[in-house]
Amino acid sequence: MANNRGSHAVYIDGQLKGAYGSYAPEIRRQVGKTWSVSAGNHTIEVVVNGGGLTDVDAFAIDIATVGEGVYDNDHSHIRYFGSWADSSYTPGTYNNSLKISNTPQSGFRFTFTGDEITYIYSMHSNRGRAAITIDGNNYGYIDQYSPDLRRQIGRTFSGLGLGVHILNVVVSGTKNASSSDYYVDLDALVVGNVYDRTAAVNYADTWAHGRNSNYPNYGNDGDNPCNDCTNFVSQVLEAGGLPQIAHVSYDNDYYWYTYYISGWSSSRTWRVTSAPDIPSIQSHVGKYESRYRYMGSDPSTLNAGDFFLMDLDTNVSGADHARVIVGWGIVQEGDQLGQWRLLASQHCVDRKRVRWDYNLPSSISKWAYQIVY
Amino acid sequence: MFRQRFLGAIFLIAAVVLLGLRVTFAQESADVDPPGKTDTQAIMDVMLQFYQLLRETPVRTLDVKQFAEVLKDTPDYELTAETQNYVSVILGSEAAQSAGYLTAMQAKWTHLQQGDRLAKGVIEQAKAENREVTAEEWQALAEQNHGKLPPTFSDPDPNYKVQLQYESIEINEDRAVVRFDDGIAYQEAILRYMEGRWYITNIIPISVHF
Repeated sequence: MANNRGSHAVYIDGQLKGAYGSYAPEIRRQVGKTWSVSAGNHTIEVVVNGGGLTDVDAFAIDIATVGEGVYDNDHSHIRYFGSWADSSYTPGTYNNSLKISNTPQSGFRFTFTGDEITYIYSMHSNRGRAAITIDGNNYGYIDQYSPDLRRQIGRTFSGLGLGVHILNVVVSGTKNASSSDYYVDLDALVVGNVYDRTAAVNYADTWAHGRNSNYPNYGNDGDNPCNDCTNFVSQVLEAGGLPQIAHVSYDNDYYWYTYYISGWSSSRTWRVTSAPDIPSIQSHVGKYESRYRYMGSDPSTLNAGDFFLMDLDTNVSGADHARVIVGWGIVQEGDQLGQWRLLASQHCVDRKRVRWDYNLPSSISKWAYQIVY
Repeated sequence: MFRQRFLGAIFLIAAVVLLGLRVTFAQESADVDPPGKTDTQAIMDVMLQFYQLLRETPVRTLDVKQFAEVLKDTPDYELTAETQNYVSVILGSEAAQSAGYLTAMQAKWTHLQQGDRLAKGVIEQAKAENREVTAEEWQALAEQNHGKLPPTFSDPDPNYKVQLQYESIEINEDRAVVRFDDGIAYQEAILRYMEGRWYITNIIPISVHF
């Protein structure tokens, strides 16, 4: 694609598949689109419609594709072109790795099967704009500039339709006026929604009344204070496959991690429900549309592995408590024992498989979050 | 005329005696509280009244001015810079100057009511268009709602009745410290005897057990 390109029509076995424009303000190499055909011999025709140039780079038959999953930047199905480098300073990225380029027209393509893809990247003061093309359609730009460093930011492209798709990303050579350079990076690609809700629920069931020594502990049941509710929810989310965004030197809304340095600790986004002017899970979730989706105040719309926050009605501190949804099932604790309800578990007080709204008068503010990773 | 003066004198003497009993025994209240009602009962009544406002009144119809019947602004409430700023944003800088528990709670519930109205409008619009509220719409709502995602509220279950479990009520002249459980949290309430009756001047959670 380029600024001198026009449009063309594609026929397979004499049947029109569509007309496609190839215009883009900058050069985008190795853009592609796939069509599924039956086994056997076929003929593809590309007819120039005019309005500019049309080019053919290559045809690929039975191109390799991957399905739902997380694909780190070094995955063999990500095909880079142009000049890319491995970043040497990458704490907080997925698997601590990153590929980066500031050379215009450098890019990568990725062929996948699914309805949705999420592009994970970092934002920083030296970042430019990435030009996005999917199946030959121009999806605009992702501006990766931010005055501060932000890891594992994501942009999800959904509603692509079931089937094989080609994502193409190139260094556009454009940038925010405040940026110091044109760098574009790739941290990872996520196809579909890979959060393992079964694993999350299994973890919640296992540790609802216990404490896992692989994590910090902010209070046992019966302790005063007992502040382990958000820590427990964070553990459940990680058990479902939500990766930590780690950096021991930072503690802001964009990070979410635990670490062990002569004792367990964690970011405040991992353990704090909400507090004025400091990082908390509530401030964190608002930063990541690629991981969490706010669902309003009705936790009954949530699925297993999602979570919600609650606010004590007699103070002004904001959300005070977190509870994880474990799906529909038989109530095991609290009231309505033995009944079929949407269930939740929590730490402090430790509760396992109570009805989701156990002990919640209508005056309790609630914020419900769905995991979309 | 004589009868009126006689009754007036009797009332004055009775008031003085009752006030004396209040100071001496700190159990019997006088003045506004009905005769015969103990301070303990008066305190429990005001606590119940506050919680009924909170939990048995639909948020959309709650009149936050009614909090003034049960809450007072006093130094018992530690007004942090964050809370003062919050009150200033919601109720204005004048209210924030001398804010205590009453003003803080009025700010909180005024804010929640505003957010509830805003969010329900957007949710209804999305429902009418047979779609979910988008992330952009939530973001816009948060910006309209002083930077906070607005929770929404359903009306209370008509069968729900506030139940407060009291652990202790310690009265020392015009100050009372109440330890109680409201079903969600074990809390400590501070009350003051002012203007002839008890008012809640702070509630501090000791342990939360949703």
